[in-house]
Amino acid sequence: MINEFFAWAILFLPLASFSIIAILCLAFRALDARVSSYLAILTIGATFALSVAALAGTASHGEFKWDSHTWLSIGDLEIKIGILMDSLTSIMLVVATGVSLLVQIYSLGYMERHEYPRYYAYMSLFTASMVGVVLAKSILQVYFFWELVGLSSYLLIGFWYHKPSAAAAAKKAFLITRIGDVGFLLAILYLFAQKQFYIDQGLNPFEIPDILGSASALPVFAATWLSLGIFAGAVGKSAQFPLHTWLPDAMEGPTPVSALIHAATMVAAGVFLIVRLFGLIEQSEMALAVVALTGAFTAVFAATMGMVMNDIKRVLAYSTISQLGYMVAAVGIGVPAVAMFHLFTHAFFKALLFLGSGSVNHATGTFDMRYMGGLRKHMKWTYYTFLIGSLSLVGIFPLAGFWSKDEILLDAFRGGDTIDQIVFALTFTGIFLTAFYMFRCIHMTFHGEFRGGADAENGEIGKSVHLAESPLVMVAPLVILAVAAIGSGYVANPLDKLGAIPAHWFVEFLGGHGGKFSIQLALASTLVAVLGIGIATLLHRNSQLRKVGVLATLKPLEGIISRKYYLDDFYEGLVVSKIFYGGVARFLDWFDREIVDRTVEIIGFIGRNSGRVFTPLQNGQVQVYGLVASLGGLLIMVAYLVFG
Amino acid sequence: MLTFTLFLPLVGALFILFFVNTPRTVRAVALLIALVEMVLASVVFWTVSQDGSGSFQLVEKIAWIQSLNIQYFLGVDGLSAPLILLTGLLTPCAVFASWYVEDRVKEHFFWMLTLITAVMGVFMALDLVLFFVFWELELIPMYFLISIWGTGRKEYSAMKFLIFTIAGSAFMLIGILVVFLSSGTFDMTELAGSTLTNLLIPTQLVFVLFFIAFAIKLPVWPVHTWLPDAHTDAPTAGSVILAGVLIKMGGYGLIRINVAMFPEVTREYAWVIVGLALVSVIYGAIVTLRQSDLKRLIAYSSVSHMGLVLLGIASLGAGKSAVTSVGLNGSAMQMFTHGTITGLMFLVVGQIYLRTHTRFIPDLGGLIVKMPFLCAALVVSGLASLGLPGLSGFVSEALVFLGAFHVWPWPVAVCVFGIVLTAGYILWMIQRVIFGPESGKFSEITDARLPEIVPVVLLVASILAVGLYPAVISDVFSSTLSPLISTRFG
Repeated sequence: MINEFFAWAILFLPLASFSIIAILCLAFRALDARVSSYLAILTIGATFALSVAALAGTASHGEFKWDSHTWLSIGDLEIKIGILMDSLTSIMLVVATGVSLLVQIYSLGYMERHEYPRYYAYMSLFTASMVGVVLAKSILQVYFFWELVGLSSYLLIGFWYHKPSAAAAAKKAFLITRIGDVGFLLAILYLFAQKQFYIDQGLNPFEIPDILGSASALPVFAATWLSLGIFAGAVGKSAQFPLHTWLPDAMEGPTPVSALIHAATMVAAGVFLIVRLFGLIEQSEMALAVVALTGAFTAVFAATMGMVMNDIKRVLAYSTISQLGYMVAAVGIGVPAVAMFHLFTHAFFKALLFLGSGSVNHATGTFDMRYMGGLRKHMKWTYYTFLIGSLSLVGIFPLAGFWSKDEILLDAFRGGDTIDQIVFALTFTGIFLTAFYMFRCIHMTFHGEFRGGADAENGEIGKSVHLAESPLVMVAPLVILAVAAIGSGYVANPLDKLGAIPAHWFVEFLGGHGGKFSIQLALASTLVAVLGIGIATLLHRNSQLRKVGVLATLKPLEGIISRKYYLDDFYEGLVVSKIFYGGVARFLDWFDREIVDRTVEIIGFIGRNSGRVFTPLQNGQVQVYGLVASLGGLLIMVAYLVFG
Repeated sequence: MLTFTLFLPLVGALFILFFVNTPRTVRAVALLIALVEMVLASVVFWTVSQDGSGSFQLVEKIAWIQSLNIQYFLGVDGLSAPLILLTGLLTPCAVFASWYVEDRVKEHFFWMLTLITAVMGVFMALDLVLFFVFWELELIPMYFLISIWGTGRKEYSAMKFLIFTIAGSAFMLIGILVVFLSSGTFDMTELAGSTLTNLLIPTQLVFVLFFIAFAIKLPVWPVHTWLPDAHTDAPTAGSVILAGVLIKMGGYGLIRINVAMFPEVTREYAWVIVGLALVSVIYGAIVTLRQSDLKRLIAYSSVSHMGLVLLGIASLGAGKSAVTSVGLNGSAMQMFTHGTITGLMFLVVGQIYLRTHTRFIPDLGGLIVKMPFLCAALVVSGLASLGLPGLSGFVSEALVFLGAFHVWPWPVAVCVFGIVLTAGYILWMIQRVIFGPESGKFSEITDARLPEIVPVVLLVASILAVGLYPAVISDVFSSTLSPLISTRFG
């Protein structure tokens, strides 16, 4: 059973871990590097245990109602802090802290020991920020931790700060997500501007239960603007088109960080936010349509880029964007519980895949799949767990991904209106693309002959390659996650009563409607997935095929996709560098120096000419002159007083 | 109590000038005085905070020039108390920042401590003449600090600073005289309580006279250009005080005089104020992006951040709904938080400059390897400046936006976009200065020493404290500002 004290402890344990490591290990270097890792892992373990307890609590007792505490009060503004502990919170807590725990154990093997204190400090801060977003009862509280998630990702993506690319990627992630945050912040401002509406009903415009409770009374116009603002925040954090470009670059961070960011924490925060505020978003048809179409488009758009990448982590990065698109689309077609279901299963298989790619990197020293191949023979555990993760992602029966993805397809299929049909068409196409890029990745990495790893890439011999399975601390989390990637779908949301678990437990626990399964759709989606796998395999076996028929005509397209549809070039090369920095900013800088400063100088009689006049006076006489000038001001004043 | 707090630095300054000779003792005495001053300022703040009524505390009133009804009149309320605390907090920081000054040590500390008295005087004075005297007095020490211990075109910058401010003062002086000749009093408490009508010249014009003086100080576009020059060429301690408290005198004056004495004009011309705020925030941020001198960059960012003070004031404009005090409280908070954040930034940049002898950003890079402590401090100040929650800058920014949005939705929306620009120039600066491969040029440099660590820790602690529990400062501001709004704007 959980009370408010323990709920706060879920937030404060990782926060304390961060503070202690930052002060004792980093500032004073008082403790051994290993202590920081033990401390972080112990606290995250305790946090996970409390989260499980919280889940047990909400599962048996429903939502907990705890009063909020006033944080700041000025005039009619009252900002409160509190904990909202319902089914959504507790599920999200378990996912975030569970994956975080496994990632941190894995990192013991992946990171260098001298990097531990800083790494585990950031990891603890990251976990705390994410937990803070999840627990928040006030929307300002969400924003508070939301920004801290941004900070932690900035620190972790830029962990190897000596690499210019890492420093640049960290900045990019922070800035692009912040563009979305402008929308989120404006939505919060808009809420406060509607304060009279809330105050009249005795509500607080920032408290999430109050916002949701009164959402249906809100004018549609207001609900639309609020929803779109909030969704803008989610688009940034969950890397949806057009703000997705930070995510692939974020692969500059250590691989366990990628696993955490892209599976259970940062990107999940965006989806979590729109699920949390679904009661508001559903008031506006237009907002729902925008959400659905953005998600569905991103699902396909990102998947196409995943098909041509050569860096294994970038394939997974685009895969993440694409899968997040599925979740966002699910929210848009009105089934947030199903979106959470997919978030839940995705957290496991995507963490597994990222950690697997880290294990591969541990052995080969590279992430470039062109220098991999044949790793199946050397890394059995990594291979089979990676394969399980891929099959789950592709959605092969009866793995976890199958159940959650099929629910989304089914809801879109049965929805009926135009938006639903578009979503269905796009997400269905996405299955084929997913199967293709994932098996292209597996073939390039694990099958065929080994192509030399980092040694071949850098043109040196016997430096960074040691083809062997990774240590136990790395393999064990892979195995645990593989088990979850297999079972977390059906066990959490079975078609029929499964032991103590009721049918459709997960979706119904989150307030959705279970009880649907279509064998035809399941068969169709499986068929498409198998087709994708087949084509990837065929192309792998016979590379000559690329040069004939339809595939040859696709060649120019591949070039465009490899350049990420020129979006980075457009954003960074054209809009930011040329138009904004080289144009607008350059002009204003010139304008400030040459026009504003000059004009004011002339008015103030210190233009160039008077400067020349004063020059002789300034030779050693500066102080005297200055004193005279200042006292002159005082004298004028006294003169005015006496004679005026 | 107030008189003692006010003149202690000046007395200390004179003591140093006449009785202390070796640089070591000069530093020790200056530090001692600064620490006592910090304690006194904290006691003043605490007194006001405990009282909580928002009315003037610790009042001292003595007739000065009776024929003209000029008084030596001091007092503190919820508006001035946090600013006095800020000044007290930055005083030891400025002393520590001057620790490694080797040229004319005695005079340096003399001018610095004199400056503190002048600033304290501005925040304590409740008589317009006294206010003006301290306002002018502050110019002399700052002028010398820049022109003697500065770098680059220091004489030019010092002169520019001086002339801009004096030009503003001339306007203010006329304003003060008009107010006096119409009402027969210089008593600021009396003036703030009454409605000023039938002045010699239109009320709007009087408002403008004061506004120009304070806008130059704040500084507001387009009269901001003295600030980048003054900051760039000032010594570290000068920049810390200049950014930390001197420019806050402008914001303080705007609230104390323009808002409190001319509420109708403030409402009427809020649309002009919001325009100036918008330009300052966005234009300031964009120009900041182009700066390649570290101190110049921070100086321009101050223009952008002080625009938010103006935006908060503009929230008092005539809107459809009733005026709230949130925006004005945000303005006041912004002054306090910007003081600690930018003070810290200039402090750290000064310490980096001391080691690398360059502030030119393209010449720097990879500094974190050799100076983890200083670089971490720079990152913290940067994050606070870009409004990261948990640090103090977020609170004031959020309050300004919350207060102003319902009155000026579109201008505020544009200003909110400014947070992306802010994040842009801060993170880009951090990336170029402290990240990246270590440059061979700086293989000899060392991290901070104790006299440099202490002020950094002090400021970081205050930034964190206000960020996590802003009520400690905002309740005090609010105790005075909320009644002001409800009585004068309700």
